[in-house]
Amino acid sequence: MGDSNRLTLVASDGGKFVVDKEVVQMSVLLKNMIEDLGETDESIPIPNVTSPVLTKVIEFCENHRTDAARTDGPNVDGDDARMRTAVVSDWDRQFFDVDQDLMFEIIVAANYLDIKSLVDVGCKVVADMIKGKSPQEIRDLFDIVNDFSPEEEAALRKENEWANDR
Amino acid sequence: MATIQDLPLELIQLILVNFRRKRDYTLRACSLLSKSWRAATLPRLFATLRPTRKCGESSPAHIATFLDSHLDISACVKHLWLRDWYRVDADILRSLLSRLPAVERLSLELTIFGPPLPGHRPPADGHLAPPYRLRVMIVNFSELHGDASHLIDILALCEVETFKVMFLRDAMDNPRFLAKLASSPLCVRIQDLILGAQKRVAERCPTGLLRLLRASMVLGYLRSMEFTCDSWDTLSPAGALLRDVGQNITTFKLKLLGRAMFEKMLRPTAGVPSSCQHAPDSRCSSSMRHTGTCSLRCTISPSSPHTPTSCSASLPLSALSGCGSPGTSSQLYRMRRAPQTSRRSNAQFQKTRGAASRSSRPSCWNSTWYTQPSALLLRRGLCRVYTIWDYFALFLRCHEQLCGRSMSI
Repeated sequence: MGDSNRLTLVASDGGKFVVDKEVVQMSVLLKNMIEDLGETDESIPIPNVTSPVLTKVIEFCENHRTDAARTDGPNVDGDDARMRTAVVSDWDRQFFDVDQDLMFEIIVAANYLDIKSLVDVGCKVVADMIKGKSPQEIRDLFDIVNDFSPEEEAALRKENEWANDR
Repeated sequence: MATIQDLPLELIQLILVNFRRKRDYTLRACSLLSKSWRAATLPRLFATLRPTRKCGESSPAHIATFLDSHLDISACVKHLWLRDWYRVDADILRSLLSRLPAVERLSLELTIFGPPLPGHRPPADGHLAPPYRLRVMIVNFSELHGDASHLIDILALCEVETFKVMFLRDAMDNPRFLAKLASSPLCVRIQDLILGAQKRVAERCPTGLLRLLRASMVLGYLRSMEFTCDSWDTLSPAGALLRDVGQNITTFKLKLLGRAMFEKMLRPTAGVPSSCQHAPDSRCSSSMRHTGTCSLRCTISPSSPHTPTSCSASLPLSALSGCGSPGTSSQLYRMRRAPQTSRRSNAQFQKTRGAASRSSRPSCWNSTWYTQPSALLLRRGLCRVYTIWDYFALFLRCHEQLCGRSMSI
């Protein structure tokens, strides 16, 4: 008979991870699954997340386990307000000091697992990478393909004069 | 393998939330990255549309043409901000608002309201029809030319939750302006009215606008009123507005600004109803001269519309400090004595006041402005609360005169 406070997550490549339920409950998706399953020894498959990504996600959740209560606390309304209040610690920055592939995989996995704090921190880190850069610099940084023709881009620049970002 | 291109739209929008809308050109840069990024960026980039001369010719027709040719942008605009315009009329606004399905805020700054000019672009078929529901409409540093009907026509286009006028120079002395008011239909729908908030501006609250609103507002629509004034000339029309269209008003806030206001309060003038005047007191007067502002807040229960259920006031210490002499207090006390339906009896009031005047002043008085209910302050024995009540009574007495009915405190 297994420990009722721990459960096993199975990554898409078959990797198994035994973790505390308390840690896993930072994920709204997993929290709901655990509530639906009740007391069980069954492992939970995470089909969209590979082992290296799941390792990082669990690392984040374990480090932020004391913050978990915040997700149960009063919700800040709207993405704007939530993102404004999200704090990126030095540990978080170091956590995301990985190659871009892994960074975006972690963010996508966090979104799938519905771990708001990890999504917010990830998006904030990406935003910091973008901030103050020109379109070409951002494209170079993230390998974004420019699908505008030069004429289209010139027209969009003119359109943007109507925006109130002055 | 994942790249930034693999992020779903909602995550890209979460990234964009981190860029400020002002003085940060990162949003613009993101809007030029690719077609998918453009689509994700537009709602934030064009949440506020503020045409300027940089956009080329910023005439209403030009803006309407731009909106017609950029439907993706039109759909994103939540705030239309017209600034540095020479003239705005109802036709112009209708032609613009009808093209903005998501607009909820309208700011008119440095504009002139006047009669319609030829050459505007009318609403095309399929565009939205009035009334346009706006959460906020702001008028700032603008002028009203000609007669009142131009502004009424503009206001009649919209159902406004909060109408805020920071500074509007109106044509109150113009006989044509006033003549048009008499025949004005009741067509203006405003829930919360905020008038006058600018400091260091000679004319703060437009009395002509007050008359205009009184003549044209749909009865019972107004729910709250916030009012800043620096002269009795503006206080009287505010009382009349309360009387005529404030049947369902639940919150009233009054802020008196400026030295002139306080001196006039203490020195009877022709414009003040006689019941609101009281003999000037030298100590009171001298302290008032150093007073910056004071304010009143009154909340009225909808079930008994003319009985305030709570009121609070704030005023700086300097306003309180000179008003403590028995002569002053009894004089002020007599003034508020007329309605005898107070929850506290007069004897209680005097007892509390007497006890309070003997108590020492709390240290926090030196740095704090009061915003607590006066009854609470009285219960706590904080002295000289009667001054706050007196300001309140002063307005109520004015209101009584204007309304021809008494209000109990």
